[in-house]
Amino acid sequence: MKNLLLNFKKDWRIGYRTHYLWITLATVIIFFVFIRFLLPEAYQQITVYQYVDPAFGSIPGLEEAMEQEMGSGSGEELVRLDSRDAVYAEMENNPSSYGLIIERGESAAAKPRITIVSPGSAEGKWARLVELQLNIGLSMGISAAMEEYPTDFKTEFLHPELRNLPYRDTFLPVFLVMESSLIGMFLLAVMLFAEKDQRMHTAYMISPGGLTEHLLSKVLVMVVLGLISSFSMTLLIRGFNANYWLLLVIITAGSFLGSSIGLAFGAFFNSLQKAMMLVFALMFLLMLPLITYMFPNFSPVWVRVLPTYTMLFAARDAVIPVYGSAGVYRGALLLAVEGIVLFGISRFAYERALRTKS
Amino acid sequence: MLEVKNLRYSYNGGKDYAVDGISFSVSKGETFGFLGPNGAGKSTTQKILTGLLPMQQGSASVAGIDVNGQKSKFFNKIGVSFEIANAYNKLTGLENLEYFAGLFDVPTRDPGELLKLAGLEEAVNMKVGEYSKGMKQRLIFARSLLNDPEMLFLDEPISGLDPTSARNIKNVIKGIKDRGTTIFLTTHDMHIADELCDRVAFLDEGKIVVLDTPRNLKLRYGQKIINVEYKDNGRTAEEQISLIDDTGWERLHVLMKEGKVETVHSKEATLEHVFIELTGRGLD
Repeated sequence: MKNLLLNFKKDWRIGYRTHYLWITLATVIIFFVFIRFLLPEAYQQITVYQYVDPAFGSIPGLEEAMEQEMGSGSGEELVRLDSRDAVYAEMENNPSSYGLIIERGESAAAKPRITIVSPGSAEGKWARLVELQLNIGLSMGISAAMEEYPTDFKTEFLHPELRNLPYRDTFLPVFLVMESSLIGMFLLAVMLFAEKDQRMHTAYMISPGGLTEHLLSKVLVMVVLGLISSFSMTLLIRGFNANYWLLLVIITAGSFLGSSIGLAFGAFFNSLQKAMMLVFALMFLLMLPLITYMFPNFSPVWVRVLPTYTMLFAARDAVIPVYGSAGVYRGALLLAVEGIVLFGISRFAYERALRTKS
Repeated sequence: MLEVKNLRYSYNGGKDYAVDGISFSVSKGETFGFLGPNGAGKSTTQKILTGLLPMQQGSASVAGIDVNGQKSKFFNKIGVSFEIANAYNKLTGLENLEYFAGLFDVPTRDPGELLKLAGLEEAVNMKVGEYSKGMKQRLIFARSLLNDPEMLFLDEPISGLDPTSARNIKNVIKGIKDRGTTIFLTTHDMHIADELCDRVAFLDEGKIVVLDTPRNLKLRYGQKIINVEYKDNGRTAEEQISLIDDTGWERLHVLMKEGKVETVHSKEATLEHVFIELTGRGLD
């Protein structure tokens, strides 16, 4: 333990002087700006241009229903216009918009005629969902107000808490995986290659210090950096609406595994230049689960077995704590086991390489 | 203190050997020089003896401890100064020594004192990345003394140093020797070996060619020649006189008696001459 702390102090100092901490914090700021200011709060800003025939008069409950569905915070905007033609004209200039026209029917007793104008540039399922949502919301409003509409529309949500979750917050786990795991992996490999370049391994090998502490301390530096970035980023984005204990568990495990992968590069290659191709290939592979996360339709088995997939969804469960903790613990355990195995293999390979190439 | 028996090491699976069946021993308190040209097997031998390379064939022990599969007890007893200076560039000289001092399980010397000993007192808090090559060399020399080792391995300790620094380091080595530390000195510099070593071994193509004291080697393989400058009809003449028989002594006596002699220089063999005599090639 004494040697581990001594090595940790030394590695932290070197990492600090190599600007690792500043790199980490700069990444936090960049991602924070990206998530907070560049990503839309909702998946897409939908504008609805509405025209209600004044001859129709007011429909009790309609305005309330529209406000509820499209009010502030929902990521949708309701613009009231004074003619049918104005709706079409505005929509021409805004491809992300829908039209809602409510007119009196042919006879005085007729039900209101409701027209939903779709932009036509079909965005597949999402567009149809918006149409459906408008249709349901509108029907609910009208049915509540008019007795001749007894239809009982009802919408249910699997996680009602998520109704008000800004879309951009769902991007946070992506940052957590990239920063604490993938960048940690890269930085550790760089640190190890720098040591090799300075031939520090030979100086260490003739000291009483153990190789395990020597390597583990570097992993710990990366874990601490990962925790600093993850906690500060989550605090900035989610405030206190995250489970920080679960975050600690999953980031520690994920960062440990990521660093162990970096260690493996240091064990099997002599320089970053020689390892570069494989480093980038592996980083690309490990980033594939991010696609699955954003587009769940893409989730082949070979992507789901990647550690970043496990980490990504466990991190989501930690920062959006509505899915329960079982997935986080299960994921953390899996990552920790994978990390320990990889660390053991890397340590063995590293010692073997030192003993034969010194 | 150091026992080596039939040591062999091959980098290519036994096709040829970098170290080829060498045996020698070094007594406690002795300074032992390991001389040879580049590629002779000196550094390989030192790496095996310090545990950096695995033992393939033969055996070796330091202070009674087998060098194969060493534990911290072994490393607490030895100090190693490498030919290629290796230190953490991002740490200061003092931080480097403090870090390595912390790894030992035995009392260590004050890092500040060692830096002063190596002439680095002005650079204590300077990052090693800003050190010159010579400063780095002195730093790792100082590092090798941290645990006050019983056995000190020095690989080209004054390589790349300016004359003043080299003299200082040589004086420090003499001081360490006087304290009873056993020193294994690997070098291709015959001057430092001649000056510091009690015994030297010449290594060539992985084999020990000869092992003896510098004095014995020079006497055995050198010639007793002196170089005399004297006045001859107003001009300065120069003559080499062999003293291995009476003729030479008589000629020297005549010159001295006539009062013509201006300078006399002995021309005893150097270790380099001996090496060339034995191997047919130089040390560089």
